[in-house]
Amino acid sequence: MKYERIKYDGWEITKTEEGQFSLFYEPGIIEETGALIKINEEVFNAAKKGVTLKELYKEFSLYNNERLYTVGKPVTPPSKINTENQFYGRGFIATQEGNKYFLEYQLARHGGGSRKFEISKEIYEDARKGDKSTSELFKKYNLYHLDVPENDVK
Amino acid sequence: MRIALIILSFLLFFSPVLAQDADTISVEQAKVKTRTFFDELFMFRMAADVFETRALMSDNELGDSVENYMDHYDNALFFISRLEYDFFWNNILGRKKYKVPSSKLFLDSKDSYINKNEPGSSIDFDIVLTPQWEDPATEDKVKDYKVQINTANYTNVAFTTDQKEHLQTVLNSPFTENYSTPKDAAVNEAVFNGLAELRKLLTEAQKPVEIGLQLYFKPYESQQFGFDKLTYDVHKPTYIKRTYNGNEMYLPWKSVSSSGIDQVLLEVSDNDEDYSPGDVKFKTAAGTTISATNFEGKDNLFLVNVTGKTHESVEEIQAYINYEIDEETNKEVVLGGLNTISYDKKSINLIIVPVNEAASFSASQFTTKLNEIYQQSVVEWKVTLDDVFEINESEWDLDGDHKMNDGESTFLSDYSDEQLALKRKYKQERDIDKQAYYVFLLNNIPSKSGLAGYMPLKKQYAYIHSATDENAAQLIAHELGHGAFRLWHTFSSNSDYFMPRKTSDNLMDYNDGERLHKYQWDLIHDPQNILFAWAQDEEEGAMQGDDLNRLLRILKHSGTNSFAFGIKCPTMTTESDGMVFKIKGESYHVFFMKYSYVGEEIEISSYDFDESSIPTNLNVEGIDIPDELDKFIVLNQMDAGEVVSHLCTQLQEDYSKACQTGSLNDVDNLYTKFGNDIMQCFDALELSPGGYTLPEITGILTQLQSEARENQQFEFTQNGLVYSLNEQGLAEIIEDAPSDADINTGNWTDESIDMKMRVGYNADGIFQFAAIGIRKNLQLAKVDGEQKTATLTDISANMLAKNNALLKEHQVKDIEATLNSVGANLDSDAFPDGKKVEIDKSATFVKILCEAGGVGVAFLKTAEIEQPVYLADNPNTIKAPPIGTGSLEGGAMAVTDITSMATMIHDLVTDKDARAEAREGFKAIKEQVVDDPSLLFPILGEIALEEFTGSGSEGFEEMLNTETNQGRKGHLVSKTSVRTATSVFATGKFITKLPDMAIKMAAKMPKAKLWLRFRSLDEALSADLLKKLDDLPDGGNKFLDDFAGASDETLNKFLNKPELIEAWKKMDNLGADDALRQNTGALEALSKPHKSRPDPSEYLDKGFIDNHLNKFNNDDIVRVTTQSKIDKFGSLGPDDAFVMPKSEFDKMLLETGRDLRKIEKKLGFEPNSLSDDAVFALIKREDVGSFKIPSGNESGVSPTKWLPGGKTSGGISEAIVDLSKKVDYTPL
Repeated sequence: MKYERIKYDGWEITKTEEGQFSLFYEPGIIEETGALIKINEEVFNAAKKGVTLKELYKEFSLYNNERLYTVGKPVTPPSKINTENQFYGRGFIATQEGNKYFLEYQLARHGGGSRKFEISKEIYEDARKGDKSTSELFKKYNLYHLDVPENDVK
Repeated sequence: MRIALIILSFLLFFSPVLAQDADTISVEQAKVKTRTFFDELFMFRMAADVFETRALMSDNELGDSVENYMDHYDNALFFISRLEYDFFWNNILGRKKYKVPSSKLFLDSKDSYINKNEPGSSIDFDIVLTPQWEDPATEDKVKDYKVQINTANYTNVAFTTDQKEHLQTVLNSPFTENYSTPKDAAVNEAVFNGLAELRKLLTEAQKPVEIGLQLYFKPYESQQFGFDKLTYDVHKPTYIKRTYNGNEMYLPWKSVSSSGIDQVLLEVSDNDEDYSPGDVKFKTAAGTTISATNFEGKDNLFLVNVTGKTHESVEEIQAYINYEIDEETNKEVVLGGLNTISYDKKSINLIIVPVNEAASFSASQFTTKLNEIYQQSVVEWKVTLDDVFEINESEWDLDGDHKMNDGESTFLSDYSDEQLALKRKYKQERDIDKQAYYVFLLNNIPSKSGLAGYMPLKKQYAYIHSATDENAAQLIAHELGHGAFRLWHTFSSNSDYFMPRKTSDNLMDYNDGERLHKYQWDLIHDPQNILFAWAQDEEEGAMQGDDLNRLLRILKHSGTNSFAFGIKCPTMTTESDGMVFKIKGESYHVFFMKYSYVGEEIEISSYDFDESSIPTNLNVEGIDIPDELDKFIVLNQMDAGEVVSHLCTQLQEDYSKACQTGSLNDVDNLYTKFGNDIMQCFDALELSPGGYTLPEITGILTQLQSEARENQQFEFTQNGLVYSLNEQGLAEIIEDAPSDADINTGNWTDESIDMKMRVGYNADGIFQFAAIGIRKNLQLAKVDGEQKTATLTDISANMLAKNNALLKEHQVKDIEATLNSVGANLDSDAFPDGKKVEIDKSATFVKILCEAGGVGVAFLKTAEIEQPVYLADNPNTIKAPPIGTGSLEGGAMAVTDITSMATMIHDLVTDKDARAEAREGFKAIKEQVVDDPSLLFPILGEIALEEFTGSGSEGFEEMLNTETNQGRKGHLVSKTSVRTATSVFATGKFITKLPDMAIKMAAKMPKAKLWLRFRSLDEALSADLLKKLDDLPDGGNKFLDDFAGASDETLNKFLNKPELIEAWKKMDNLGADDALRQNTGALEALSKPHKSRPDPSEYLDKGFIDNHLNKFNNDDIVRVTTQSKIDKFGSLGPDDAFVMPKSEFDKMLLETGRDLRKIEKKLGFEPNSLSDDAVFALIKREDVGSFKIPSGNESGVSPTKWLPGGKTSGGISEAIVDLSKKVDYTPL
């Protein structure tokens, strides 16, 4: 079965290769929140014919359909405040703990996670300048060998 | 009614007078009711047809139809609580495996609108439909409906003033003004629109509030009945799921007797500043206040009163607080709930029978324990301890092993012969209460299987072998679960909710448990599991399956529809399985048996008698029962629509015990005796109904046997009976004939017969084989000290299929038909040696098939083809080309298992396609050999060996025995092997499955060519590489597909870097697509260690990269991370964070249903790496910078799952983007 994705103003319908159908609408279109819901082929075909989303909801009572997710209001990640011993960089946190220095950085992979290892004072001070991202620090100081699962932070 | 009909139909055989069918009137009544009922269902589309036929359907059929209807339409609207139809909805909705499908609306006309999919959002909502009749006087036809929607009961939902006003507007205006008298679809639309609008408002109004109190219902220690909360996930469908104040929960069940009372405990945990446990109140879902008191003086523990209602009615009890929205508005916030179900209490008698020694416990002790278990399901047992019952071992131990044989334990379907023997004696000595269950305590009689107890489903008697004071109640309760209530073991595949053995505390597990779940309470009270059902079907008598089946076969053979057995006893008694008739003034005890054909099977009708309907002095028309006849059988046959009765008077068997005990069931081997007497009756009456008579069958078998070899034997089958020739050359029925399966598997020991053939005629009169077998202990050939093997059942199955196909193709109805007489020709075209397969055209089909089978069996015994088959100038029924026969013998010498060769022999005779394909395949091989002998011969040899042995070149080496063979490589290219193969071919040393060989050879050619290319590029380097390829699971075939047309440059990369094979294999395992697997740059990237991989632009062309990144540039994106890391770092990821397009995220959710384990697989994660902390962050495209294809050097990339090319191993597109700055996101 061919994949189809048809976009309308504020909503879209999709048919997958496996013959599954979904409807997505943005917040404020039908209700305050948006959602991705499962639909059947009959609804999909009706939607293709150009009916409005409200008509579609009315005709097929889509309020009952299974929701795969709801789209609420956007969220901003919390702001972090740097201190004398802790610096929040681009994707990393450089810390001074006594006379030791550490770099904890977010992992790029799907699923996220973070790793942490000890660094030199020189790297710590360079990191605190705030002009380098994690990968730039890795490249400049060749820290790749420390990017290992043993340094995972649980 | 059924009883009456059966009796009447039997009497019809004696008398033409037929009484009126008493059910006619009630059928008509049902139709009227149904029509009225359905008219109220809005005349819903297809359902109208369903219900119009209500009167013609069983409840199950109707249930199926309604389910189909509900499956078909997304929205179905039904009334479910109209009292007069409760029985119906119980049947539909209470079906064991029925689940309310998604998106179905159930409308309760009295109480509430319920969306079954989202329990908890129930709405107090009445819809009143007032039918407008065409003729109000008759109320026969609806012309219209008036629709009103009443919404008075939504006071427990906290609407704002605005919402309330809107709700009033929505619910009152459109329906009353616009749809006050709509028709059909307009009614539906009005209702659905209203419900949707109301639901939307309620969803808003029912948003959770913050309350820290948490509630738990739990059983009260002194409760009188049961309490069941969700413990095992498998039972989830049996609990009602509710969402209270945003918390999803499965409500526990509490059982209570109808109109009875009980208590349950509620514990409240207090974590709220504004509300305390004392604020918790109780009510039913309908709003009735429930009383509760603090238990044991604890503020947070309540004893809640539960009141039973009518049988099987369910009531929800809710615990709630009055939540203050503002100074003026309160709303009830339900925090937890419990469902009560009421059952009429069952009170059942149980008689415990100690066998040979007294019980070690008292009846009262036992009763208390037993009732503690069954009170959960509102069942009470009244137990009586019977006197000790004495029985000698010789009276029950039929096989003399001192152990009692168990009944069939998997299906719990019946007693064993030894259990029956004990039961019979007990029934002879004691009065039996048909309304009681019996338990035999057999502490000094062990069971053969070691089972502690046994009771078939829905039977009256249980057998307990090792009851002690401690376990007796549990053990017997378990068996009564089977016998009285048809409860399966929880670990039975028949159980609706399977759990592995010994993993639960359930009574029906083998774990000494005593718990019964709510679904079991329902089964116990299921009207289909009526108590004492065995009263109709458990008269054991001589109901031995084999005897009965034999009798039925005999009756079927005779074309008999029913029969009556009469016996005159000096003293007559009325029996449940027969009647006393006056015939010619004499009293006869008459037993009736009627049966019907269901496909190939026969079913006996069970019946009872209404004595008042039986004439006291029967006048049997058309049958002259001689005076003073003490017993007789009447056989009734249908002949051209008329009943013909035959009287059997010369009965040889002894049925006198029936007169002694008053029951026919006490006659030993009753059905065997009936069978014997009926067969005698056939002979005496010379009955030949609808098939061949015995003399005709004698003629058929004599003819067949004359065509067969001495070691072959024919049997003839007709109407389920099997005939063979006896020593006098006359056909006779084989008593206890082996089954077709026995024949097919060669299950006989007479060594004079190597092959048996059971034949008959199909419905079209075509001669057919019902079974063919080769004696299973046939001594197979030994060649040069090697014992040959063969799968005889495969060979005989092939014969059966091919013989029948041949006979059908030529429509052979006459067993004396020849090839000439039907104009058939089974000869082949010439084989490469110029000879043909030739079959004698004057031979009968029977002769040809006997010979084909005979040659095959001789081959099995000698590994040689009989000489007349291939010798020139030697006439034979079957002639075959020497090249073929010689090859078969050669093959037999080379291999151990000769199954395929024996099959080939038969195919050459019977299967024209096989003949043609063999010849063509042989020719094709010959032609290919001419084309390129240096390459083809070795491959051909290997293929031949695979066909013979299933093994590869190792076996080939043995077969060819070439001294110059120095391993596989040398073997393939050596001239010696070519010569050997040529020699083998030319002298006909191998031939089987030639068509397959030709196909395989064609398939292997490309591989051989590619391998040769590798060798020609670098002979030395290719050695290791080819070994790696050969070691791939498929022998390198997929690699071949990828690189068959590759350039020398590409092949040289593999020669110089054999590790690329590993990378290719890894890509293949991870599901990489063809283009990527064939990209040696990508393979090199993958083979390099993390952090040293090249930029993708070095091995992916620009078009590919642009195309890939466009998926991200034209869509929003989703990043998978965790809430804790977002909170910790204040960002969604580093500057090279992996993301996916939203469209593919949506697709992934559709496919996985948000199952984290499945999502992990899609994203190439290690199992269980995603936790509840996972966040799916939706990010607007415009909020991030440019995308890049991952290089594999990014932090945290999996060393085992990462693939080059921008896709996860689960096929999801991925890219990297800078997320190290603060970016807004929406959690999905």
